[in-house]
Amino acid sequence: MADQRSSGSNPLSSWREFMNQSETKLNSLFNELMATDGYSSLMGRLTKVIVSMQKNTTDGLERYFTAFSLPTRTDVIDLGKRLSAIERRLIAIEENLTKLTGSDLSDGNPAHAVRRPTRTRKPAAGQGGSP
Amino acid sequence: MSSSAATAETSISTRVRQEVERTIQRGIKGLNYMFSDDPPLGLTPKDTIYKRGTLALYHYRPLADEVYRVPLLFVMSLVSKPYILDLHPGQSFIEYLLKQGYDVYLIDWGVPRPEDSHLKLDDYVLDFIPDCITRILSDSGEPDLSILGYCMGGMLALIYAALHADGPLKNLICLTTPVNYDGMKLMRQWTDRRYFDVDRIVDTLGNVPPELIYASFDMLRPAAKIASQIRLWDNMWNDDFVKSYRMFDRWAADQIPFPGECFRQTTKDLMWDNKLYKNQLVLGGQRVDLKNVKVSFIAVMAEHDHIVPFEAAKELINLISSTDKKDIILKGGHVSLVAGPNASRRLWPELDRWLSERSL
Repeated sequence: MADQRSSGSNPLSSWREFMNQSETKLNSLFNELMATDGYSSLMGRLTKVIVSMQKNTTDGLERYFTAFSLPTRTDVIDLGKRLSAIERRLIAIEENLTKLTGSDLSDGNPAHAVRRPTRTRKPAAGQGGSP
Repeated sequence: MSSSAATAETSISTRVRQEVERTIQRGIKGLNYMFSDDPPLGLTPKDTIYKRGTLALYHYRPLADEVYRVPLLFVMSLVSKPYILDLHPGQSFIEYLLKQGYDVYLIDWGVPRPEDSHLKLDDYVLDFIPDCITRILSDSGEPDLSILGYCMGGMLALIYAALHADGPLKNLICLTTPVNYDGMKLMRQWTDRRYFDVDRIVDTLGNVPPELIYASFDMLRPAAKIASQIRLWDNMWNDDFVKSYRMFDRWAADQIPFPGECFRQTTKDLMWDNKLYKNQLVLGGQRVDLKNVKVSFIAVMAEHDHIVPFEAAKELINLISSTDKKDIILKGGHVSLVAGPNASRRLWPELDRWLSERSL
């Protein structure tokens, strides 16, 4: 930023320059390494292990939760789906009511309806990029 | 002692004094940094004019007495929060456009819930965006609008434009929008179909966790994290630097889950088969032919974009049929293109110049 630009007269300017160069070089070095099949293969295997562990944990927890008559993640997601469906229907009902009554029920904020500037603005002379 | 030697000595003593002062400030402000909250973000006044699941459609309150006729809709990426476009008063792209006289709307996709893992590109492009547009046209009373898409939001807007050639779209602005996935070399390598089991990830996890998205962006510049921490310490005395750092750092770390089916589709159809670029992508039974895009068009790319490299975005202008079209490359990176002091000097006035004449 501003300080970086004025760093030429700063006693730490060489160190800052070194750091910037090191960052660029390290990024390039790592990017070269990460652009290899070996790295992709390693990451792919690692991801599989993590995902499998996650699956085993989830399955195990689901069994415990079921045994203790507690709602599992699947149950909560199912509930979420039902709630979303109810939400959608509520919005549809609300919209139909708005159409029937002509009043806006979706937005209780009166400020929204108040300020409506005229839509007549023109670009300042010489401002626009010609189409 | 000669006058030049005396000047040099004074200069050295000034520098040393300055460095000592800064070191003290670093200590004091470093403590303050650790125990204070992040600055509030996304403060430009707005109203939610539509909600649907996690989606919210915002209408920003006008800041000009007279606005351009054509409303402007922002479409954000699916993996990051939209407040990067509305960081802080004085540093907000949206606030800038409002002051320039635009009537601004924004689709906030929200944070996908586990039950949203079934959402695909089809849902966003054929359902959510058209639904929001219908509401914007009704709210504004205008027959057409402009769309500005950032990153993956640009891609969604582009696909929408291709699939709704006779729709109400008047102008399309794509910022750092990937279209040729062969150009995203590292991402492509990491999701190589030989090693990357996308089905297992989605089938097991549902939505892709934000940590995975964050880590993959971080890996594109592995040394950047530590270097930015050092730079923060070096500039801890500088309040403006620290404030800016905190805003960007908070946004970068505030990733959201990627809807599972959409991630599967993006990986297979775009990363692996590059179908959008080849005009082979099919959504809702319709082929996405970018030649159908005929509206006024501008694409903006960042010179040092490490997330959507230049190679991934540069072909876009050649793939569409618009006669009124241009693309520009600006200095900066993926984020500094749209937010921060450089954006306010480069991108914002450039877009205002282009869009103002096309918003009548």
